[in-house]
Amino acid sequence: MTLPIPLLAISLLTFIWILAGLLAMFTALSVVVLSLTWLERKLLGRLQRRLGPTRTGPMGLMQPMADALKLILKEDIIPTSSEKAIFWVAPILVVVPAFMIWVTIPGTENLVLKNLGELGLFYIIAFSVLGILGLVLAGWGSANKYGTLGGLRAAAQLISYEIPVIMVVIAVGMLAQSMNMVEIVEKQGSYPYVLVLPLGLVIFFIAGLAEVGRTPFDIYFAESEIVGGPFIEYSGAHWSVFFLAEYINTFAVAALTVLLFLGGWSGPFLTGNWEIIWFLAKVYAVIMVIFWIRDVPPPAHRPVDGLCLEGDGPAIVLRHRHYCGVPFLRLAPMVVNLDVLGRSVRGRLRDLPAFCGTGQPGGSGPRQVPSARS
Amino acid sequence: MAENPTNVVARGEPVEMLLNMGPQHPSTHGVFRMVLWVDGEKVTDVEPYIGYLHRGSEKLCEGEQYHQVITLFDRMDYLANFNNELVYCNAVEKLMGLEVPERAEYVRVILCELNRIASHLLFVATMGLDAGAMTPSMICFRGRERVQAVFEAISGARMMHNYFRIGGLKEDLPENFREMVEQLMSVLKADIEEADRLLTFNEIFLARLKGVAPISLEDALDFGFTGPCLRACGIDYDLRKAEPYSVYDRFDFNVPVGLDGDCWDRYYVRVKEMYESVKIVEQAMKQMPEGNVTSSLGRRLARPPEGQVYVRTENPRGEIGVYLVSDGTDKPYRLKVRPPSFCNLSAIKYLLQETWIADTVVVLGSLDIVLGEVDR
Repeated sequence: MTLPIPLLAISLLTFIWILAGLLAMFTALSVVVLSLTWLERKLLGRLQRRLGPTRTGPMGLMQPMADALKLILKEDIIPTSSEKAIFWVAPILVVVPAFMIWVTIPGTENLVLKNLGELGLFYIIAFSVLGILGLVLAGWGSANKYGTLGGLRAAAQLISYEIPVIMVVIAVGMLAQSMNMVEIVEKQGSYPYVLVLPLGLVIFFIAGLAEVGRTPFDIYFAESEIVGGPFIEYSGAHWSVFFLAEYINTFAVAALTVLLFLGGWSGPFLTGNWEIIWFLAKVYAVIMVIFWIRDVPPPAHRPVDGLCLEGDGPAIVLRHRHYCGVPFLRLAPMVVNLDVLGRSVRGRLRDLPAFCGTGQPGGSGPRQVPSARS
Repeated sequence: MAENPTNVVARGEPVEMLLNMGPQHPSTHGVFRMVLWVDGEKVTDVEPYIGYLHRGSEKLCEGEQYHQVITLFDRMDYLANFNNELVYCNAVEKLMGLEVPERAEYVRVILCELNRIASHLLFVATMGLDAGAMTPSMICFRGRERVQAVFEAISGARMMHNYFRIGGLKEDLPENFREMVEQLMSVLKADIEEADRLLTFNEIFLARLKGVAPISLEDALDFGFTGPCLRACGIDYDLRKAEPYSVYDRFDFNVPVGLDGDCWDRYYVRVKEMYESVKIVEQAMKQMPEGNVTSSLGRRLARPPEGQVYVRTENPRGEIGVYLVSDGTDKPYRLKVRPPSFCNLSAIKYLLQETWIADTVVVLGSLDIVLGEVDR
């Protein structure tokens, strides 16, 4: 039998299969998010010579469960001055695209919910942008100035970094002669594309970090100045939805890096669907690099470094101080902490006698403060 | 009444937004409040508000006997307790003409310099956090906790020590003090170096701090800057050298100075000062004599003769001054504190000209204020 909806002219069995697939995807991604939060806490702890969570279960493995339980049980506060409808819808607008990307990201050749063929990569890039809309709405709907600033920053950041991502993705598409995710990976059977496009990997990875707002690009929720940005008024279950989306997006960036540049699931010894082990191993390796980066450099909050907002007439217009490529080129060496910007400053400052003090032992008598004022 | 924003927009003029920052904000270092006028992300004007932590410390001092006032000084600059106790004790001692036992002077210097390191470590930690770096804060807090463990072994408290006495110390050091400090210094140096290596020349950290909110030497002097904030402008004015008190004239140490007076210089001067403090502590440990540390007053109350005195010392945040008037009783007639971070903070409006919202927290962090001292 077919459902009486013209557009969904599919059999009931297919419909159930779709539902089951979506449910499986949802469950798998939730497990992934739980594992990621645990991994991040543990890894950050070790990098900072702490232990990370230890009390909840063996090695703190139950910590994500405890966190989730706490968040669900917390009171969900909705500010009276907020735009209720927008406030409610925003988290959904953020989390739905995060899940939808995963519809067509393949784990192995056969382990994919729906292979969209030549539309695959295009679909992924298109949907990865949508989440930002939710962030802007969340910031605005909270009726909080910090939130609004954060939402606008998110939009500005997206504009800055979407273009490098698209350029790199086009390069990969040209190399593989296809936008089909499975085909792109199969083309990398003999060698991963990182060997052909090493710069592409770096650009995609860093711009990807910026798109999901991972450190050092947590500009839009910048804890130290705008105190959580769009999330500032959210609590409890609403907040946890944002959290979920953020981790799924992080996982997606890692997965895309692996699929586009690191050969996806191809690897020795394993065949068939067991190849997903290779895929997951590579993805988690990339994830660890992302967490590692969070540990080391401070974020580039200062608008000068990447993007800026300037009030200009009717609405606050997003205006780039530089063309989008330029902040990227400036930030890339910062992320890996190369000596590009620092060299000039460093050479000037480190060896100057002024910083070594006057070198005289104590008791040399009072020094004169020059009366420079005339 | 303010003009309708729609009309402003219609004329194509920028609309300013009023953004309240604090007193409940993670980066205002306590209960400081700023009202920012922002144009997009640009700060066009700022109005600082203080007083949320006002406890009337100066007035309270008038109701306490001289030895009780020490506890109030502990609570002013709560990150540099020993330094605060020192300036008060020095003031009363000067008024009474009391001689402090030499060993007590050395112990005071050692504790003050250790406290300076602890305070600067906390500064580096919060500076990193303000700029968004998480790891240096962990290292710095660990180092600070090690110093405080030593303080606890000596005085019984991590922070509010109440260990200095007018004319001496509460009691002699614990027997294993020397081993304790030697052990501490080796790990502490490693902690300082690790945080320094991780943060100071980091690309993003430099980009966030270098060239942000510079202040010229003339302006800094006009605002009454002292301490690292003033030295970052390029002058080696340090009371420990310029007007040596206690036994500071017996040590060999440098006064680090900056070049441009910007946020990064204010940060780096403090980092360099920690290394100098380590040098002082090591020398003081070598020179420290044996002997009595308690006050010649014994258990008598301090009753300074009628008169007044002004004493200033170098705190981690700058020059702290105590103006003390005595009417010959066992309680101060009037006590006025010149707090360094209050004077440094007075320049916030000037420093935040032509900055961005993201800079405000960094600039405020680089001044290293302690609200307990600003509001008193």
